[in-house]
Amino acid sequence: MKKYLAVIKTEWQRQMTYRINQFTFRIGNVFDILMQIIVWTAIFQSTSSVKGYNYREIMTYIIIGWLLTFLMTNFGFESIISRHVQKGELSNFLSKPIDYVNYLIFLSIGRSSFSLSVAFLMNMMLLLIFRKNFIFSADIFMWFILVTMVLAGYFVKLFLSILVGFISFWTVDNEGMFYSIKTLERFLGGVYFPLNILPAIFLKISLVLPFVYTFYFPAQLYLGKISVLQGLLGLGTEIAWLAVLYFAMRIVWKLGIRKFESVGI
Amino acid sequence: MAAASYMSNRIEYGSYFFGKVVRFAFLLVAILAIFNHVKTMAGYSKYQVIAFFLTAFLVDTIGQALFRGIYLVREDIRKGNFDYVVSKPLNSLAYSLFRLPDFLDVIFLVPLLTLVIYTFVKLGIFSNPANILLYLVFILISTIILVALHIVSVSLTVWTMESESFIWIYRNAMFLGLFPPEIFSNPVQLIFTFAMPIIIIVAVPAKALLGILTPGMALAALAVAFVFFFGSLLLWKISLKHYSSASS
Repeated sequence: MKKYLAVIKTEWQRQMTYRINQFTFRIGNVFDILMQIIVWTAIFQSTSSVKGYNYREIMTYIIIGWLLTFLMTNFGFESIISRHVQKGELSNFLSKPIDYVNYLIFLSIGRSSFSLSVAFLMNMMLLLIFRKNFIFSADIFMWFILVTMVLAGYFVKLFLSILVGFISFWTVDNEGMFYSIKTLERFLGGVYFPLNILPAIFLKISLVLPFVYTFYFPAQLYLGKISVLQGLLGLGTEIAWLAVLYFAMRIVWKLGIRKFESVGI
Repeated sequence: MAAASYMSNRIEYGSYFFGKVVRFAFLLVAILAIFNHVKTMAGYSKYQVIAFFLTAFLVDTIGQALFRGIYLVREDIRKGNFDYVVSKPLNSLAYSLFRLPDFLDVIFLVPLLTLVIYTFVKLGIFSNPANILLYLVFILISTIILVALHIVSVSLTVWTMESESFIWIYRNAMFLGLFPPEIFSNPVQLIFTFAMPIIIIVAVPAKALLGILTPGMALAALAVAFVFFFGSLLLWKISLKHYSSASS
């Protein structure tokens, strides 16, 4: 365990070295959030309700959704794994008494703990600015499901990233695949707009994929637009995805390591 | 060389292309869905808003098609390979900007331009060829500003040796250009007209197309293009003076 804690500590120090990157990425996120707030504010100037959402509900959807998505985000794991595989750096891990997949998980915790603290602070500032249009909820059951969903969602996203990273065992690069999956994750997750304003087919497809449980579904739960029971069912689906992705990750790792040529040795 | 790279990484670039198409399609569907609930947005009709949306994508796609190479500069610096670039008898700025054109973005321009023409038809623009000509002129001016923004990004990468963060700020800010600028408050409009000129890049050509561009805004676009272009060249020269080779 001590060696994995050292991984977290080292990563935290590395993140501190690249502070400008952290700052600019967060600015990018702020643009995303502000754009949604501005667009929806413009839309609500000529109507009081869109598909059952009033202005306060849509503002709450955006703020709570982004807060949750920040908490579940890991940063750039696909490229880290790709680099390890393509440049032969993976050999360093194979020769050490360390499980590579576990190393990645702890590395992610180290990365996230720094980045999330920055992102969390920025979201709290947004919450403070838009507090008049934010709906606060004190439903304890809802919070219990929500927190569990965030934990499960964090690992769902991490395992997906690791899986995409493992594609590097078979291809020269994986950035394109990473970009495609991130794009699908954002749109089928309901990051840019609530999925139920789109034609019904989008929501139906989304509900069987894991992305929806990282933004749209928990935000709907928070707003009380789905019941606690439906929330539990959603949580069950998310945990099922977590298990599927974990086993898929372990299997792909075993298959990939057979293919690994250890470039540079 | 870039073409050969694309052919050897078909799955990789195919995935990128898929992601771009999905992003574009989802945003377009969302705008259409929103207009099922409202008749106008900031006073603009559905097809007028789509004209802004398509112009933003058009300009952004031109930028990505031409300047993909700047994303390789940081890695070159990190490995010390940038020393070879600056020591060769070639224009290191032109090399850094244009070394990797994105052919998939060129392909993406085909459906995009088809939709632009369809929107022209829906808005009855073809009866006013002067507007189309002005649109093309201001798209050209937007491209000059895009060149300037990419020069700023590559200059900052050379200077600070950190990743191409600036260009990501621009690319995220382009999201603001998808909609008419009137949805923003006046201070926000000022920032995105003069500091990060997304409004000049997108809204000026779109407004020229719709026949609602004011002379003041047209002059502002010319001034911003001039200042950004020559300012960025100056920054590039300064950044080269501050460049400290990673390999020495």
